[in-house]
Order: sequence, then structure tokens, then C-alpha cells
Amino acid sequence: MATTYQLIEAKTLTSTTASIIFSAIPQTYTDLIFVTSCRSDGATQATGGLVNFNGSGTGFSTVSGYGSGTGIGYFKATNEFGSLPGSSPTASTFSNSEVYLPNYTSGVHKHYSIHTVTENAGNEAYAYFFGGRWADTAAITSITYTPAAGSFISGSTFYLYGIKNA
Amino acid sequence: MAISRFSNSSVANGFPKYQRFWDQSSVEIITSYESIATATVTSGGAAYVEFTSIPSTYTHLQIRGIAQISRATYGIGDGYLRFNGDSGANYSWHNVRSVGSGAAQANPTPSDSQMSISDGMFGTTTGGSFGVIVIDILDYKNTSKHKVVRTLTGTDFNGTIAGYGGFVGLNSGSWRNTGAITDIRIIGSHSGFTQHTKFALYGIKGA
Amino acid sequence: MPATYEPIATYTVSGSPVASYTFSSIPQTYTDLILYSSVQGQANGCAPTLVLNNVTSGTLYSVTILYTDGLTTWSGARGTNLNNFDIGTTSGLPYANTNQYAPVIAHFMDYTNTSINKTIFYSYYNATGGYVGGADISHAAGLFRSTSAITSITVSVNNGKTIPVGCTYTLYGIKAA
Repeated sequence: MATTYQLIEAKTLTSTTASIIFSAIPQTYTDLIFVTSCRSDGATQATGGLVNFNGSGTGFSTVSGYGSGTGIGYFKATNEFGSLPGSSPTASTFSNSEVYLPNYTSGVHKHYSIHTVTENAGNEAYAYFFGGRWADTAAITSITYTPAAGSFISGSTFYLYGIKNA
Repeated sequence: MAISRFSNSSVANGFPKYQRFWDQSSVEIITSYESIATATVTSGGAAYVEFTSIPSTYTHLQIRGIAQISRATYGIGDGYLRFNGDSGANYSWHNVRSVGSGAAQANPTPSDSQMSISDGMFGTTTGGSFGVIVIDILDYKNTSKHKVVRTLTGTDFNGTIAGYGGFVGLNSGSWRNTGAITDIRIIGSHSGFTQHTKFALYGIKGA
Repeated sequence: MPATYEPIATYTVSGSPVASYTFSSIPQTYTDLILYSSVQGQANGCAPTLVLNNVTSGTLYSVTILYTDGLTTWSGARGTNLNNFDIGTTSGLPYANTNQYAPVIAHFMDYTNTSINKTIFYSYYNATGGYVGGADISHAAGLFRSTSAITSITVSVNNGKTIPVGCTYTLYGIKAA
């Protein structure tokens, strides 16, 4: 029986990994929360985290506003699902990101919200608001997450929670 | 005969809670989100509030709260975190915020003796409002990671005072220490927190 | 005794659009409330709105907003002396495509405290399909200048429109130690 706020699965990487996947996601919850503390070995301050639902990376739209430490920016993209630091920021410093994905089993398009931060003992660090949409009516049964640059490094962690409504 | 625990300390110590009791047929509630402790500022105010001896039975921590700073002239106030009593220059913090008009603002602080979680997003006695805050600390006991904090804060007090009427934004912070967090001190700026300021600490399981 | 994180009630618009819906007689046994919603607007440029305790006069509401459409702006705005929480800024909620419902989230901290005015978080995140197909993230802190405990929350959309069929709202309670 699904309780209100429950861990579905957690992953901790023990080696460099190109992508992670949560598969066979139970269909017994109402919403999902996807939490990540991860980092890429890409040679960059920060890179996007990209999502596939059910193995598909198409049909996505994303809007974002962010701060970069000393500046601001905004953009529209496709399957951005948060952000994570690359190899340039302070060592041992991973992202802190949360995706809220409501009604993931419903027969409508899947909209979601994201808050992501990265940190650095320097001026450049990122704080993002994202809004996203997957234009597919299929229930979400798997989530694949991949850095846009490089691979996830060891120690990266990923957590999937289910929220059950009344 | 079933015996159930239903005290707050039992939750803090990681004992399971049961759905029914005294019925010799108890069903354990499996929930990943649990309350640990609450700190409320009473009359007279407080320079800070503190959560100590944080149990290591969770994976993430969340703090939810309302805060008001005792401060003249402005309706906006600040708050800071320190972990495990560390007051060294081991923190960095950044944010993106709205001050209610104009372009969004971004602010960097690469090194500091404490981590800002507010940067103007708490209310004050002058404005008469409280700020609201949700702080998320992932992997707080992970001894391979610096501790990165994500915070939503904001306040509004309808009019404007000294040019400001409210702030809202997303803050990030890092404690450059791989030690497990066992103590969190939340510090109010200027003359500290006023009565009714409240912070509640929750644990989230990740295993 | 409530669990730490618990659903209180869920409402889904069915049959016909509605002007509003009220979560009434909200239990006073929690510390915070969270309202998670999936919402679309009936027409071009709708945004979600909230009313507390059925108070729609006296201009007791105000908001400070951070918003972007992803194309032209990432800015701040304020609304003062309002008769509801309205955080509509640029493109608003998705509409016209019955498959699109944007997340709308509100946090009500210490909602039973009768010594303080109530400050909330209120946000929506629309990636596409709003006014002229646009996107809109609107994130706000809002003030309700009343020390009354929150006993009801009324959801609606602005511009005199109705809430379409399929929109869902779930109210959760969070209980602190």
C-alpha cells in the first residue's frame, strides 16, 4: 500500500557512469519527486541534466530563469531536467536538485517543476527555476537521467520518491 | 499484546510508528518523511535557534519555517546557517532573487563564515511581516561530500519601506566540510529573531 | 494524531468547468499546508488565484514575484492591496490543449498561528502553451494581512474565467514535532 511520501528507489554511483535509469516505476502513487546530488566530469562549471521518459527524449519543452552568481539568464530548451556541476567548481561539491512531477500516471501531457542549485567557492554558481513539459500522454514508467557534458562521477546520488494523494 | 510508541522522541530515535495499537495486530507505517524537532522563539527574541544531536538515521534534512528579524528602517532581514559549530571561512553562498521590480538579481559570496539562507528574504519588525523558508540539505551525513544547501525564501509586506517591499528567491550554499551534519544553527541578522519565529526540522529517508 | 506528511483532501474538476473550489473546514492539527495542483486556464492568459478564509475584500493580499517567459524577461514584480493572491505575469497557464496542466504549488507555513499575518509561497511552472503559446514561471512570496488561522482555501483562475475539467488540487498537511 502506497503511503503519502515514500522512497521508491535510491541509487549511489561507485564509478563514473554515463547515465542512470529508474525503471519499472510503480504506478501506485499520484506524483513523483526526483532528488539528485550529482556531478559530472565534463570540463565545465555546470551542465544540464537531460531526461528521457520511457526511453524517449523527444517531445520536451523547458523554460528556465537562473542566476549564475554574478549574472542572470533565461532560456527555453527541450529535455533539461535540472543542472549539475562539472569538473571546474570546488571539489567534493555536488548539485542539490528537486523535480516535482505531478500526475505521472495520468493520460495527459506531463508537466513538472524543478529547483536546482550548484555551488562553488568562487563567484560562479548556479540557481535555477525550471518548468518542463513532456508532450506525451503515456504513464511514466521509467526515468533516464544523463549529463549533457561528461558522465556522472562516483558518489553521485539519485532518489525517487512517490507522493500519494487522498 | 501490541505496544506502540507515539512520542516525538521515538520518531527522533528512529523507532517505527504503528498504525494501530493495543490490538495485537499492528501495521508499521512506512513513511520517508518524518518530523525531528521544532524550535520556536519565545518572547524576548533570540539571536539564533539551534538543532543539536541530529540523528543519523535519515539521508536528507528539510527545515520549514517562518522568520522575522528585529530591525529598524527596513522591512527585509537576513538569516544564516552554521553547521557543527564551524564559524570559519568555510562557507560559500549565492542566490537569484526578485526585489519586486526590475531584472532579477544574482549575488555571489565565495567565502564567508556563515551561509546566507535569506539575503533579505526574511521579514522584520519594521515591515511587520514574517518571511517563509524551506531549506533542503541533501546527503547530510555523507562523508565524501561538501554539504550543499538549497533554500527557497521570501517575504512581502504590501507597501514599501526605504524602497523595498518584498524579496523572493532561490538560494544556494555550501559548507566545505565532508563531516556529517550533527548540529545546525540558524542565525538571525541585526537584533535577531523575534517571538513566533519558528523552524521545524524534518528527516527524509533515502534508504 | 496526524502523521508527519498526510493528504487532507483532493479535488478534481469533472463534468463541467467551475468558477472556483473551496477546501473548507481545514483541520487545525498540522503545522504547515501544501497545496499541489495541476491546472490549465480556460482561455488565453489565465493565471491561478487563491483566496483564504473566503476573504475577498479589504485588499488584504500582496505579492512579490520572480518570473520569466524564457524569451524576453527574468524579472521582479509586485502586486499590492489585492483582494486575492494573483501571481499572473506573462503567458499564464497552458490552455486550449486539453492535455496540458501546469504544476501550481502553494506553501502555507504555520497556518494556525493567530499571532501573525500569514506569508505563503505561491508558484506555477508552465513550459509552454500559455498566452500565444508562451511559457511562464512565476514564483512568489505572498502576504495575507490577517492573523486568523487559515480554515479555508479557495482556488480559481483570474480574468473572470473558469477552471476547466481535469484540473486537480490536493491539500497536504505537515505536522512538526
